[in-house]
Amino acid sequence: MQMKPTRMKQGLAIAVLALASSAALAGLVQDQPVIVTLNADGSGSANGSMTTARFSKNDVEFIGCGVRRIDDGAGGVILFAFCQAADAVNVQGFCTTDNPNLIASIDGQDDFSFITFSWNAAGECRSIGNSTQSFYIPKK
Amino acid sequence: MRTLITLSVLQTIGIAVLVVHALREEPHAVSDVRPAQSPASAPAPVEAPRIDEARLRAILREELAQEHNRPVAESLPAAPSPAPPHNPSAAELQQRDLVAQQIEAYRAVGMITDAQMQELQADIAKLDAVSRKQMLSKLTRALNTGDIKGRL
Repeated sequence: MQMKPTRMKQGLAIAVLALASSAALAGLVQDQPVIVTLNADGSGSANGSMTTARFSKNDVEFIGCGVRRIDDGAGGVILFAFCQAADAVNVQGFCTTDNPNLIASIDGQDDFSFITFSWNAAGECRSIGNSTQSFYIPKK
Repeated sequence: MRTLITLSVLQTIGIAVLVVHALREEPHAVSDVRPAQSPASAPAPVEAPRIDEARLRAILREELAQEHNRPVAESLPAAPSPAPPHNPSAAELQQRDLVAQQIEAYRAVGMITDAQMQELQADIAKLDAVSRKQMLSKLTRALNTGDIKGRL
């Protein structure tokens, strides 16, 4: 049995509409590109979503925090943390800290986190925060 | 038990009697003194409180003087003694200067690779606490100003 061209077009339109409606029902998605603010005195701040940065259309944008534990060569281990980010035009911001409370806050970050951090004129982190929300998870 | 209760009641009554007696005695003591003095030499009714006030002032002065003369360690609650400031040794200062030179070298080049950054951080980790903080700050500032391109 052969379908008429008109029927085929109608079927195709229905299929497209069905797909479109299922995409629209995927929940809230919020892109949060990386923003880096550098102040004249050397202080600054940065924020952005991990996934927005990772799947951005440029090859420079990133944001994240990390922890370093390094053997000090004298039987001890030095612990410090850092955060870093670059926006779409590669303006970069960095901070480091050995404050245990700030270091602990990094544990709460994951793949779908919105990350925010700020630093003083010496480059020391003053705040490190994150927010993990469903709307930071990218569309399927 | 009964004996205890009885004793306690008796004690309370005794205290109450003493308080009442003391309250009654006080005005008498004042009135007993006044008639003994002639009206001319009798002090004005406010004189007695003045004497008390002067005495109180003297006591306060003595106490304050004693407090002032007491050694500080005695008068203040014992506070935890702050850690003595660590004076970096010559070797530590030399190590810090070497790290500072490395950072300056990367600044001159304008960039640092990930491997170089790891090495530099390992060198920073070997510094004393004060120098480590200084050098981390120096590195971070160089990154923030864009003098050194790279990542931590």
